[in-house]
Amino acid sequence: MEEIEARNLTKTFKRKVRVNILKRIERRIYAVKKVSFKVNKEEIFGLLGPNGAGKTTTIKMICTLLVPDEGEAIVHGFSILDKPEKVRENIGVVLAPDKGFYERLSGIENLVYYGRLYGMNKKEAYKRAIELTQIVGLDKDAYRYVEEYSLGMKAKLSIAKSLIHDPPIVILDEPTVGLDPISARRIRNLILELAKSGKTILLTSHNMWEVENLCNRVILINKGEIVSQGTPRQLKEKLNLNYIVEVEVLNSEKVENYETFINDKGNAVIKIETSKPNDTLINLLDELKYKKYEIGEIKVIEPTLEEVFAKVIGDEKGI
Amino acid sequence: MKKEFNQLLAILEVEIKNLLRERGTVGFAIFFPILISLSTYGVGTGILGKAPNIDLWFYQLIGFTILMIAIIMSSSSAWYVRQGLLSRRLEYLFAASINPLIIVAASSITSGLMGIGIFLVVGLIGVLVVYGISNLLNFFLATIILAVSLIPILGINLIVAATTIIGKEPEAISQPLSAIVSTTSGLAYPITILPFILQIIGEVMPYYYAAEYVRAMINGYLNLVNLESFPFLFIYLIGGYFIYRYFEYNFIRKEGNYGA
Repeated sequence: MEEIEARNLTKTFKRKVRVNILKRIERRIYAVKKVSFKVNKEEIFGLLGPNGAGKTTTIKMICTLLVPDEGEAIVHGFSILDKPEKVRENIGVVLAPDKGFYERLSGIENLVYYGRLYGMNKKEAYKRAIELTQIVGLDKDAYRYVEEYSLGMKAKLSIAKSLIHDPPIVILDEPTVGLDPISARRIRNLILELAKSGKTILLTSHNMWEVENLCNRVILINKGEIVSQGTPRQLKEKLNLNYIVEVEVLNSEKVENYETFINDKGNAVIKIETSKPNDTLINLLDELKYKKYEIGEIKVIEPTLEEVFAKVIGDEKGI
Repeated sequence: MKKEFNQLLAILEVEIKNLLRERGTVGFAIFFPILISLSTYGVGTGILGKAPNIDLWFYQLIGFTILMIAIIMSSSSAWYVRQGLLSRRLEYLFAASINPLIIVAASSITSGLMGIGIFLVVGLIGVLVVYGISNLLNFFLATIILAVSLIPILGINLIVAATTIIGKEPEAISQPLSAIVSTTSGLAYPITILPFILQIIGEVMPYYYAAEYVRAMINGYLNLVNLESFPFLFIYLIGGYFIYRYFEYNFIRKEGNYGA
């Protein structure tokens, strides 16, 4: 069952363009053009694309922060155009992980405030805020002013804020941007735990490794249009990207008919780039066995989503 | 309705907490009307060669207090929208299930409450110095009159908030407004001494009535005839609401003027 369904979402913005020294004209620029996708229940779905690709605009339309020029989206069964208030009740959002807080209030006070905005009474909001600070690991700092928080702590507070009314859908716009690796890892673990607890997650990121490791499905978006979509594996297969097969041959410095390099143990390593790693590996191992070579470590290195991204976006830009 | 009231209280509570943690601003706002009214009283003494009637100081003290309240209310609405857009707090509010009117109304009420607090402190000093304890009851009734007189001013705050969405710079909107109010609203001198056009401007703005009603109440001559224009001032509240909603829908939700 789909929790989010975007149908031909289109958004343009007015931009003034200078045509000569005296004259500027107003033009409409497409930020998002006919973007359609479906996000299933309890899925982590990623929007991936370069700066200005239209990821945030897409997310803002789904959050009802922007009204689309054309198309619509159904979120948890409600239309963003006809029932925006119902959509808002069913989503939690992180738009900028370090922003949106009253800096001179404590983490708990901020969470209680947001809880009350979602219709909770003060007591309920406080109880939920305490629970969430424990979940995100901020319980020891819950009563400090937000202005004293590090970026990582603010990111955790932001996620807690998005969960204050226990929404079924959580929308995260670049949730780990600017964080140090340890804080980013904590946030990623938190996202995985949220998905395990039954939340549907839509996230955007520049970080290909992050998207590849977190998301069940991904869309690649560029210049406001979807250029590819599927699971990270499907994207790689669609583009026919090469895997790298590496086989270590023990007690040998070279292998006949194959290009090799010497590893730090002094053994030859055969390295082959192939789009069919299973077939290549089986044939290679058979041949080596037949020639009585002693086989050591075997590695199959998948192409990364970064390579997919570079290929798709690079091809479009003619790189 | 219960949910909306709870939301209003939530914003009021955090805004007041936030304000109380900025004590310097509150201290300045209390000190400002006393400082300016004493300065003008001193200038008057210098020009006349003798101290003018103390009632004139009180007249100006009330006028400058209303001016301070006008400045706080209009600039805080403008800043609330501007800071809210820059800090992305407004995005989170707009993404929550909350009527935007509650957001701006709560911010205006906070500054209105601050204004009433300032009036209570400054006005009490003035009443005690000029009239002693005899006019205290009138003074407390005047505080209630002030609170009611601030309601139409919420409408002007909504217009200021709306124009800040596209104007971006809060001072560019709130300061010219404060200049117009201070010149035409009979805060430091009666508007009858102004040229006709400035009198008209003063008479269509709610600030003039706030100052006049408060002075009349303290001096014990406020009656229903004085209040006949008051209901018409609610057109600001209605107009402000529709202008704000138009700007919010067209420039924020349709054009995406969040932040930058």
